[in-house]
Amino acid sequence: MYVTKGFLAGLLFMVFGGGAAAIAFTYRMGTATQMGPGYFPALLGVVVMAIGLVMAIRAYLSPEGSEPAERLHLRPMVLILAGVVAFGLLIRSWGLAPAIAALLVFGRMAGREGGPIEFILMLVVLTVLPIIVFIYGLRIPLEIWAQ
Amino acid sequence: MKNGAFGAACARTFALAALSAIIGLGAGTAASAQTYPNQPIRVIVGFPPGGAADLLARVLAPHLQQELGQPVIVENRPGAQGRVGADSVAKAKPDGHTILMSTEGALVITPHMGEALPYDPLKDFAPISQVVGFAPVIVANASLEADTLADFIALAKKNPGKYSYGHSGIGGPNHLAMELLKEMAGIDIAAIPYQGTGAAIPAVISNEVSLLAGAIPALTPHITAKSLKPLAVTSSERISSVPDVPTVAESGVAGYEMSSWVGLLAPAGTPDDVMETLHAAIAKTLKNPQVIKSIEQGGQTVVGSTPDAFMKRITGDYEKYGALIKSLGLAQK
Amino acid sequence: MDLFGNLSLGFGVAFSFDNLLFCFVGVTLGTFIGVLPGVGPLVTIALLLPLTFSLPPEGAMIMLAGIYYGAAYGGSTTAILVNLPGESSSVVTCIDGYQMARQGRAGSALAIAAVGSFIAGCIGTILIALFGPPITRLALQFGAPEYFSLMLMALILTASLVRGSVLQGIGMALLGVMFGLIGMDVNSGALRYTFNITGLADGVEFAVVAMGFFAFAEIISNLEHDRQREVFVNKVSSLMPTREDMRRSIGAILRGTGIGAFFGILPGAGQTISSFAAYMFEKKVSRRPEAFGQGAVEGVAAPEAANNAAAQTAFIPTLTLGIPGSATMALMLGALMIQGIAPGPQIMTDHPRLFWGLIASMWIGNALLVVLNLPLIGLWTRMLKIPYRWLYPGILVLSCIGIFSINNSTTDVLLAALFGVLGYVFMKLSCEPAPFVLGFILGPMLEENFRRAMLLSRGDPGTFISNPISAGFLLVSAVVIVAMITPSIRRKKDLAIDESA
Repeated sequence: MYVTKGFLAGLLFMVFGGGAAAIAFTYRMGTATQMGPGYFPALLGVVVMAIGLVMAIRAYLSPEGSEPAERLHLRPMVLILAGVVAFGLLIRSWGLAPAIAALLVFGRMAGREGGPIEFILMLVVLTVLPIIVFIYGLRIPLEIWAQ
Repeated sequence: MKNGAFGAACARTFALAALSAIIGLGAGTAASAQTYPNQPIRVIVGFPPGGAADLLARVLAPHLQQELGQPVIVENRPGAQGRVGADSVAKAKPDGHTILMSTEGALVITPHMGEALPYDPLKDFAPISQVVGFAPVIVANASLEADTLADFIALAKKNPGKYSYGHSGIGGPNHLAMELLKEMAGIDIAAIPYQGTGAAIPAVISNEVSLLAGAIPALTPHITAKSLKPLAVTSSERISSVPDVPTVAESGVAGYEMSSWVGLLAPAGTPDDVMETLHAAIAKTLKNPQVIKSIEQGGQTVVGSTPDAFMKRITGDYEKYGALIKSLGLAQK
Repeated sequence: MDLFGNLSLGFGVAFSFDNLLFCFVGVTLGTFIGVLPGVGPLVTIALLLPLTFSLPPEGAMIMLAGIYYGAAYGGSTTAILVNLPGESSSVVTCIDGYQMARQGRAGSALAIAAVGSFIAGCIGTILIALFGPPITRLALQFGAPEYFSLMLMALILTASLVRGSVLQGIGMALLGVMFGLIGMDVNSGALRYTFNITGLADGVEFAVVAMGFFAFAEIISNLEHDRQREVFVNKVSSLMPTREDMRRSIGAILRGTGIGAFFGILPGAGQTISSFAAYMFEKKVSRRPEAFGQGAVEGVAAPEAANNAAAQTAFIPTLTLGIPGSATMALMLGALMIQGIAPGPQIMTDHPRLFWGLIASMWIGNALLVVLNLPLIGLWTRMLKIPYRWLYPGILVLSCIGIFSINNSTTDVLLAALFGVLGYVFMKLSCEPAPFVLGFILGPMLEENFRRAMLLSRGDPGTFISNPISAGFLLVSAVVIVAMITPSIRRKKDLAIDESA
């Protein structure tokens, strides 16, 4: 089976490199001594794509050289992503407390451990402590409840 | 732990969070029904801490707090040369609790540089007051074979393309000042961009570039230490903290004038009585002798204009810079 | 220059009760902020600036300086304990520090970091006192060609950071460079890779990448339920380093100090590069390079010493030439000027109490930091025993608040989430984040300086060789490349010879 780490990493590099180069070519290129904004990123993109190609080919031809790719566990990944995104979206519009609450809810769903009482306690502690430290202590301009 | 019990815990948590949010919002709405100001006032600065607008805001904040009776908090929202900060105030609630302290860049220069702006600099803001005016000073490396701007212009004309100047960023006021000088004086010098005046200073001290236009506070220490020579200031009149430095106009480029300002603005649609309160507060603060001293020590001049005068200044500058950028061919697209 | 007289004046100032208090407050606050992810000395100093207006200038600067180098201390604590760099300069400490923690040697790592930082700080202070202005004049010799060649050399040496496949490491470094290019291009004013998102116009914040790759990705990985989460906390052996550890570290500390002191003076290069450079150098000169990445104590000692030395020497150009090496230094410069004090060579003669008092207080501050941090090691290691289901939500909350507070920007938080996912994918593919991070920081500077050097030389590429310092770095780079390739050529030759026999 050739779906090894090396192969997938190579593919990933090809995608990033290719995409970056494609976008870079739409910027002004200039010359090697008078580089425009597009020259360097285009060059990089092409090199990264080449590296990715070599990695992928190597992995394909000798799959025993690399380990099989591990499974992506979607559940914790999506939930943590959702939690951080929720925090980001809520902190300006609803304030720090709702943002922390949302983050912790998603975090709890990703972790699936612990009882409800413990969760409420965590909610309180992890909301009150940061408020004291950041807002009152460091005087960072965050709003607890947005107006 | 069983899924059922956890599901119940989740539901309880959501309910708790929702309830608290509602209470919070309710408390908020009740509060805004009272007289202004009834909450802390946030002064948004579109640059990271340490810049001209930021330091000015921090100097003024405690006094404004005294005048307005509510905490005045300076909040930095840096990004895109002030555009992020300006945008956030343009879209803020026009109740006077979120105001913008901005240099002219984000309002009258960057709109002409080619990128589409998410706000309209003339329509989305209600100017409160132009707080200070300031102008960049043009300095040269200490070993330059010219001691005045007039001499340098002669030198540059004899050696086109030989000299270079550093500036704090394409489309910034320092860049524009030097490009205008080039055009009006008819000289050919190369422009070398840096990430801000701070990054350009070592370059001009070490003679990587010959000239630099930058804010007076950043350059005064070096002028005093004689590692840089001041050539001219770009304003129309000499500046009190550097009285011996002639203006560019005095140095042989008649009619040259370029100056910057920092001003306070509110979102458009802010009620008139709120605007009056804010203007009165800033006007009073700017009469405080300590404040005046801090400002003038920084090479800036106190202005403190009325909202109408400020609006006129903004509109005038908008057109002036538009024409200038077009004639210099600096727009990106 | 009457060094002894100046120092005694300085200590006289620094030992006054008020200034000792300011120093203590400063370093404590600084350590604390360094521990908190995202929140850095820049934000804190900005917030405390108004307070300093009413303080005497010596006291104000002593406190602000304490915050600055105290943060370098604190950043290593979370790097070692939970693989989360509190400051950008602590990223390298994560590599071996965290491994040491997993092996139950967290106490040793923390102690070595503290002691190393102290020694580095003391030496750094002495360097400032003795060599301040001359060293800065050396730093002024660094123009665009020199910076370019230096960055190139550093990037090539990155290959030695890599634990796995070198090709993949280079690919990661270049990928990092690409992400570093997001934002406005200095030399043309054009916006690159911003997709019209205003929040990206100034590029991706380092803390966003660090938080995503190190904190979030790690948390996601630990929450997979297929694997046994390692319970390494029970193995906490001793709180103090072994004699073996100390013996190994002393050389690393001294070398790290030298490297850090050098890089700290270069404006723009800064502490992060100094810690990376110290790590890579240490690995190169070590007799057991294969131990690096598995918990080698030198891998903690060298970067920690480097970033603390850099934190001290960063004051030199700021004070003696008025050239701030970083945004935080620029802020302190601003604080000085508001107080009516103009930094510059004359600062030593015009304000001797301030200058020497500050230097003396740095020494005191370093001592205070060790005194503060060593006993805390017991507390920190006990924190490792907190059940993970409490630890990771705490990390999440602190990281998110920290990221948001840098620019008050929602975009930053959302980006961090994306980098979390990307970091998780990288983990699954065994792609190492360290080269990526280095490329992210150095790459854009490489391009900026190359183009600037070309602008200055009006298009003449010879400028890189005609400048001696630049030529020197390029020579080293060439040698390193050759050295990297020849073993594999020789190996292939040997293989060919064996096969034909």
